[in-house]
Amino acid sequence: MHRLKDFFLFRELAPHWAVVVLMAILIPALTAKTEKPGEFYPFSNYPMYDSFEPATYYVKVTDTQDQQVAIGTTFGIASSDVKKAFDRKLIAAKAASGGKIKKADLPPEIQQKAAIDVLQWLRTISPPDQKARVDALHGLRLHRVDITLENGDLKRQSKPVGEIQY
Amino acid sequence: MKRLLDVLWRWEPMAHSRWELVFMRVMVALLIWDTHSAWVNQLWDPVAVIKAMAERPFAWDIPFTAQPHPNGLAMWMDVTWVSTAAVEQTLRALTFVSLIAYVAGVSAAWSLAIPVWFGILAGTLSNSQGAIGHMTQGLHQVTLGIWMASVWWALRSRKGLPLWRGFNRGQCEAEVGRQVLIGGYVVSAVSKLIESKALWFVNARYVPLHMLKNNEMKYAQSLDPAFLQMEGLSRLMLDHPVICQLLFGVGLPLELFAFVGLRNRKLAVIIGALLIFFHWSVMQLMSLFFFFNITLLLTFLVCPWWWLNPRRTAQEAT
Repeated sequence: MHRLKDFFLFRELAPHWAVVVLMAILIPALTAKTEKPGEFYPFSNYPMYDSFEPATYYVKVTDTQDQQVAIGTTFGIASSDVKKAFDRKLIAAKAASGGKIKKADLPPEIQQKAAIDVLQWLRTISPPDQKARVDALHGLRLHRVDITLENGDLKRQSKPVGEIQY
Repeated sequence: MKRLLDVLWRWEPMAHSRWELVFMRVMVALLIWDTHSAWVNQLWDPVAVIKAMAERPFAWDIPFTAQPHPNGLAMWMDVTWVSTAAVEQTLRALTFVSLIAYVAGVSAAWSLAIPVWFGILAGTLSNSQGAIGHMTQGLHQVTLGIWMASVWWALRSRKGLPLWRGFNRGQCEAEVGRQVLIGGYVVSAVSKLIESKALWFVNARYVPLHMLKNNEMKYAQSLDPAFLQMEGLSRLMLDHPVICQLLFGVGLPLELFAFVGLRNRKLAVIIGALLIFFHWSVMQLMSLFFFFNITLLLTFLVCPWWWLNPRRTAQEAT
């Protein structure tokens, strides 16, 4: 017991262990039924990269002619945040359907609805100096790019999931 | 050998000298100011850095006017008021003045109150849009810890209670900031262990997929073709999974036992340098941004200014 105490220094490192208990146990327990368990800004249980799967995906944005649009400069947001926003809508749709279906297998119309919501949101948050540029595009399209490992080889599949026109 | 290990393992809290605390405060203030100016993007161009620090905050605008997916305090209250132009600009101006006061040595209980809470509210609003970002969380955890330590120290001092380890205010703030910083690493490792069902090391062989995804996402963000040059390396890593497992696999025990770096300065510099190297490797391969973490580790664990000071031994004795 003494050795354990000497190793962890619970008393001496009280603020440290308090933070560990707060972020690894208390907040995940208290936010278990929220959209993002474990997240309570600025506290987090850092769930990113907690498990590496043999399949992943990201999203990209193009105009209606499939010319890629730079997400960062055009919408003032990280491309990872666009993917997270899209993914979150898929998670919500999956939960609404009873949670028995994989996100990737959700019906196209549900994925399309999620994509449209994300594109409309992007249009509203684009920085003031980019509004005219976004308007000039007259439409946006969201593509999903799946990266998988098949028989030891990398495979990519890109497909449009939804678009808005204005 | 035993003596060396005893010295290395000794519990010896870091009592920073006054001059060291000035360095640390400057670093923390610069990081906070980056969240209002993104000056780090111009890191290798000093003139552009100064220009970004001076000009960008005036044009900086929090674009979010709603909180469709409330997170943190937004679950209980409306925080959109923080993005209204008048409030945002006033708080940013007050943040600037506060940070000057903080660097000048004014108690963090006063000088960090606005920078910390404005930062937390802005981060809360940003994380209430539907995507959770983790870039500034470490910084806001550490600064919140520093602010709380400062308030606690002031209350104890006012009541005439004995001070924590006999630390002065600055030392107490720095020690709590450091302990909070390392707490994040331990939590991250615990999450990895739980979510991967302890298979994180085994699954690290799939890292190349995520490496490609991250780099292509960066391309989607900037259309910079430099981010599309990872294909060859990804295939090489897939063919030799042990490379991934060694590089990423060692990160887990390093994070899980990062708290040993809180024992004394020598272990702090070892653990701090290893974590910085780990962040740097992941930054290169995955195009992720760990500047805040690296700078915080440099500031609170490595403390290069202390090691470079030839008079440090005498100061350590005091």
